[in-house]
Amino acid sequence: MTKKLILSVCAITFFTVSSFAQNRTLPSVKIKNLKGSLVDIQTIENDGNPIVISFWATWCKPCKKELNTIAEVYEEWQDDTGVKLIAISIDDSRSSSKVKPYVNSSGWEYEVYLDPNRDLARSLGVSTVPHTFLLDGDGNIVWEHRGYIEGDEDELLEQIEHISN
Amino acid sequence: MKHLKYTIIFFIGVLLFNITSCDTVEGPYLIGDNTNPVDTNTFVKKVLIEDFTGHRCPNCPSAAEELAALQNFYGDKVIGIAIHPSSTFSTPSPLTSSSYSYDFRTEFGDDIDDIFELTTVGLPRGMVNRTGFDTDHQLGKDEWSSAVQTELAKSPIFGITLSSDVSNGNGIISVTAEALTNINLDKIHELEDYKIVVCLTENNIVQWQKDNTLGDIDNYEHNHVLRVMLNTTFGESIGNSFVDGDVWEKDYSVDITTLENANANYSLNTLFMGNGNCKEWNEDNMEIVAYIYNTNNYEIVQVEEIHLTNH
Amino acid sequence: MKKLLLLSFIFVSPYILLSQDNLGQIHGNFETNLQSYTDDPSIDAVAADEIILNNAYLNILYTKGNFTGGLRYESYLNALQDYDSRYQGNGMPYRFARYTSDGLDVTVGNYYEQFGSGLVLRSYEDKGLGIDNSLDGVRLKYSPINGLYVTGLIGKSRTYFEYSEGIIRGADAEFNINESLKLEGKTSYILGGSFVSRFQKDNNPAFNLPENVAVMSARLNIMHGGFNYYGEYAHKINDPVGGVSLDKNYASGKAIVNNLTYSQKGLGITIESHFVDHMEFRSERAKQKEFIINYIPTLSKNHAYTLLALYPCATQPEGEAGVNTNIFYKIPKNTLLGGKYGTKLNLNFARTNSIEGGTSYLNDSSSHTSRPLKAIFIKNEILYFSDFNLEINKKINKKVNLNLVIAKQKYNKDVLEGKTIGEYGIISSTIAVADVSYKIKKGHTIRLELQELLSEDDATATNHADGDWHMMLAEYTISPNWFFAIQDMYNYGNYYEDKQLHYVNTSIGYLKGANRFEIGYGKKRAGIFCVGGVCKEVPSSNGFSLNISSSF
Repeated sequence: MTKKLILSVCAITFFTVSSFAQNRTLPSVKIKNLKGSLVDIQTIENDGNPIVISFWATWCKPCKKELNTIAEVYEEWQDDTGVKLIAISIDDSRSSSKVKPYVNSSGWEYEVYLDPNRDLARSLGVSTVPHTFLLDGDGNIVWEHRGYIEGDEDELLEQIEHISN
Repeated sequence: MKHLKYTIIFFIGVLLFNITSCDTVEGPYLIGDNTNPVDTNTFVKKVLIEDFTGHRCPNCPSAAEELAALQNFYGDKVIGIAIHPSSTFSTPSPLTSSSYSYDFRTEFGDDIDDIFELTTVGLPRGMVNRTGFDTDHQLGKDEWSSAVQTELAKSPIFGITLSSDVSNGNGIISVTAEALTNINLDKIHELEDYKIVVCLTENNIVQWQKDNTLGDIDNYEHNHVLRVMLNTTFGESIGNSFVDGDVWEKDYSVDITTLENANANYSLNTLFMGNGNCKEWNEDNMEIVAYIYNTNNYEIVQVEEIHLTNH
Repeated sequence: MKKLLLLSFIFVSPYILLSQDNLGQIHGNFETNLQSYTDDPSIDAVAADEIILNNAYLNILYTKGNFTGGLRYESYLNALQDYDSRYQGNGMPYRFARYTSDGLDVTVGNYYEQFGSGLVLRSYEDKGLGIDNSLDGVRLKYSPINGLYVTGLIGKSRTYFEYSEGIIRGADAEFNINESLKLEGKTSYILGGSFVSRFQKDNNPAFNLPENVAVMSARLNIMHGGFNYYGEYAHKINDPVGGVSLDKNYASGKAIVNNLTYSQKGLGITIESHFVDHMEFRSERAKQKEFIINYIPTLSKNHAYTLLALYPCATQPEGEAGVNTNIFYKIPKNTLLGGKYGTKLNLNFARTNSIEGGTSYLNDSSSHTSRPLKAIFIKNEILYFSDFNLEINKKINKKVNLNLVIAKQKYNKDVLEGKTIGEYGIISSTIAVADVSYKIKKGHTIRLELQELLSEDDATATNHADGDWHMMLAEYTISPNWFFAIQDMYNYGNYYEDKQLHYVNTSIGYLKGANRFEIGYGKKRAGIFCVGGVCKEVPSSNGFSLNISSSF
C-alpha cells in the first residue's frame, strides 16, 4: 500500500514537473528527400512562417484525398499565410518507388520526403495515417489531427490563419 | 583530423567484421557415422517426442519423417507418440466417403492439446519431453533435434521397466519405476510430485494422408498413433520423495475390445463429425509407452517403450 | 530488481529535470483495441472463452537536447484472435536510450533499422499485422565524410516477448556521390552495401551446420532528370535449417531487385521487378516465419478497396520472379476527357510467377544454380498472381467526386495460401468498383461504394473457391469530428447455398485533435490481411469492436 502511494506520488511529481516544459518541437530524425539525400527534419524551416507536416502513404485513400484537396487551394494558402506543407510518405520499399511518380503526376507543389522505416513517424507518435501536425514560426507543434474527413481542410486553414496572425 | 581517425577506425572495423563473420560449409555436411553402443544393463535417459498431426495436414508428413529420422539416428533413445488433436486437419469424412474416413482423434489427445495448445500455433508442431512449458514448448520439426540433443545429455533420475503378457486381446501390463538417485521434491513447490502415464500406441495404420507434394495418399503408414491412456490422460502419482533404489510398481489389465469401444463411443457421441471409425486395433502393431513427468513444469524425466505382444 | 530501478528513475528524475534549464519534453501515444467474439456457426466464427479480447500499448518518448529515451508498455489480455496467441500477458518489450554527439549517433536498447530496401535486414513494427521484430542491443551511426553514412549494429531480434537465440550483427554504408564530391550535374549516384550475419550455435548431432550465416547486398541508385533507377543484389550463404532428416539444404540464396521510374508533371511511370530464390532470413534457423528479419515486398498494387484485396498476393521468398508496372496520368483540365478539373488515371499491371524452370532451390537439395534472366521469360512457369487494373478518379463538380476501378486478377490460392497443389488452383476474378462521394453541404459528405467480384474457379481443382461477391458501403461524415459507416459483403455466388451469406458491419467514429474513438459491430469474413509482403490470416468473427487511440 505505501509502495503504491510512493510510486503514485513520484509519478505525479514527475509528470507535473515535466508538463511545465511542454513546448513540443520536432525531434532530430533523418528522412530522405526525393533525390535520395538524408535530411534532418529539424533543419526544415520556413522563414518564421507556419509549417504543416502531413504523414501519408500512396496506399492511403483519405491521405491522398486530403493532399489532393489541399493541392487545389495550396497556392492561395501560401499567398495568404506563407504556410509550407511538408508531405512525408511512410511508404515502405513495397511502394516507395511510386511516391515520386505519383506526386509528379498529381502535380503537387509540396516538399515530399520519405520515411520508409517509420523512424520519424514513430518518434512523433504517429501510428495511423493521415496524421497532420501544424508548427508555428518558431518550430513548435501547436496542433495535430488524425484522419481526414472531407471538410477538415477548412479547420486546418483556420488553425494556420490563427497562428500566422 | 578527428574525422580521419574515426573514418579509419570505422572502415577497419567494417572490413574485419566482414571477413570474419560467415561460415560457408564446404562439406562434408553429415557428421560421420553415429554408433551409439547400447548398454543393456543400466538405465539410459530416453526422450519422448509428441508429434501433433492430422491426416488432412499437408505439411505433417515431413514432421513424421523427421521423427523417423531421429529414431533412426538415436535408436531406441527417442520414443514417439503421434497425437491427432481435434482440428480441421483431423476431422474425418462420413463413413460413406471413400477417403479420410478414419477417426484418429481421442479424448486423451484433446486433453493434452487443451493444456499445451499446439493446434493454436499451427500444425505440425511437437514437444520434446514437454520442455519449455509454457512459452517455449511448442517446437517445429526443425527444432526437435537440438532439443533431443540437449535432453539426452541429462542423466536419468528414474528407470522404467515394462513387461506385458497381452495376447489374443487381453492380458496384464506391469510397470516398474525405480529411482536412480535421491529425489526430494517436497521442499521446493508444495504440490509438486512425479506422475506416471501409461499409454498404448499403434504403428502401421494404413489410411489416407494429405501431403503437400504428393497430394492425397491412400496408403500412408501412420505410426505411433496414440490410442489410449490406461491411467487417465495425466497419469497417477508415484510420489515426491525417493531414495536411490526405491521402486514403485503397478499392474494394469488390458482388454482391447473394451478400449476400442470406449474410443468409438467417444467419437460418435462427443467429437465433431465423429463416426466411430477407430476400431480394429492390431495388437501385434501396438506399443506400450510409459513416461514419468514432474507436475510442476510438466517436464518428462523418463520414458520407456516395449511391444504390446510377443513377450 | 526491475521494479526498483523503475521506482528510483521515477523518484529521482523530477529533481534532475528541475536542476536543468530546459526540462525536456515527454510525448507519447496510446492505442487499445477491444473485441468481443460470439459463436456464429454459419461463418465458422468461434467465441472466445474470455468473451472479450484486448490488445493495448502505450509509447512514451522523452527528448532533451541530444538525448532521447523511450519505452513502450504492451498488454495482451488476451491477444485478439487475429494476433498470434503467443502474444500474451503484459510487459515492456521496448525501451531505449539514444544520444548524438559530434555526429556519432548511439542507440542502446531496442531499435528498428532497415538496410537498403530491406532485402538483408529490416527490423520494423506493424501493429496491424502483429509484427515487431525490434533488435535489442547497440547501434551506431556515423557520417565520417560528407555524403557517406555508416551504420553498425549488434543485437538480438524480438519475437513476442522473447529475444532470439541468434545474435545479429550488421553493417551498412551508403555513399551519396553527388553530396560527397559536391557534384552539381543532372545525374546523381548513390551507392550502398550491407552485410549482416547471424550467429547461432550448432547443436545438430547429424549435420555440420554453419554457425555464422551471412547475407550481403550491394545497391545502386541513379537519378537523371525524371528517371530514377534502383538496383539491389542480395546474397545469402548456406542457411540449412536444422533437423536430422536427409535432404539438408545448403543452397545459397539470392535476390535481385530492379526498379526504373520516370516522372514529369502530369505523368509518372514505374516498372519494378524482382527475382527471389531462397532468401528468407530468420533470427533463428529452425523457427518459422515469425522470426523473419528481412523484407521482400510484394510486387503488386496495394488496393484500398475490399474486393480488390480479397485475394492478395503474398511474396514467396523461397522462389519467385515478378514485375509490377504503373502508369499515373492526369488528363489535363479543360480538355475533352479531362473535364473541368482534370481526370486522373492509374493503369497497373503486376505479375508474379514461380522460378522452377531450370534449377533453383526448390528443385535441389544441396547445390544449386539459378538463371534469373530465364525466369523472367515466363513461358513454363507456374503463375502465382496477376493483376491488371485501371483506376479513374474524376471530380465531376464541386459536390461530386467519382472513383472507378476495373480489374482482372488471377490468384493461385494453392501456392499463396500454402494449400495442397490441385486443391483450389488458379482463381480468376473480374472486379469492378464505383466510389461516389457527394457533398451535401459544408462539412457533410456522403459516400457510397459499390463493388462487384465475379469469380471463376479453376476447372482442374478439387475444391470450389468462394464465388461471386457483391459489396456495398455507405459512409456519412461530418467534418471535423464524426463518421458513420455501414457495409455489407454478400457472397451471393457461393457454390454451397448455406455459405451464401451477408457479412454486415457498422461503425461509428469520433475524432477530435489527436484522439480517435471507433465502435464497430458485425460479422467479419475470414481472410488474409496483407501489408507489404507479409500476410496474416484473420479468422472470421462476430461481435463488437472498440478502438481508441490518442497521442499526447
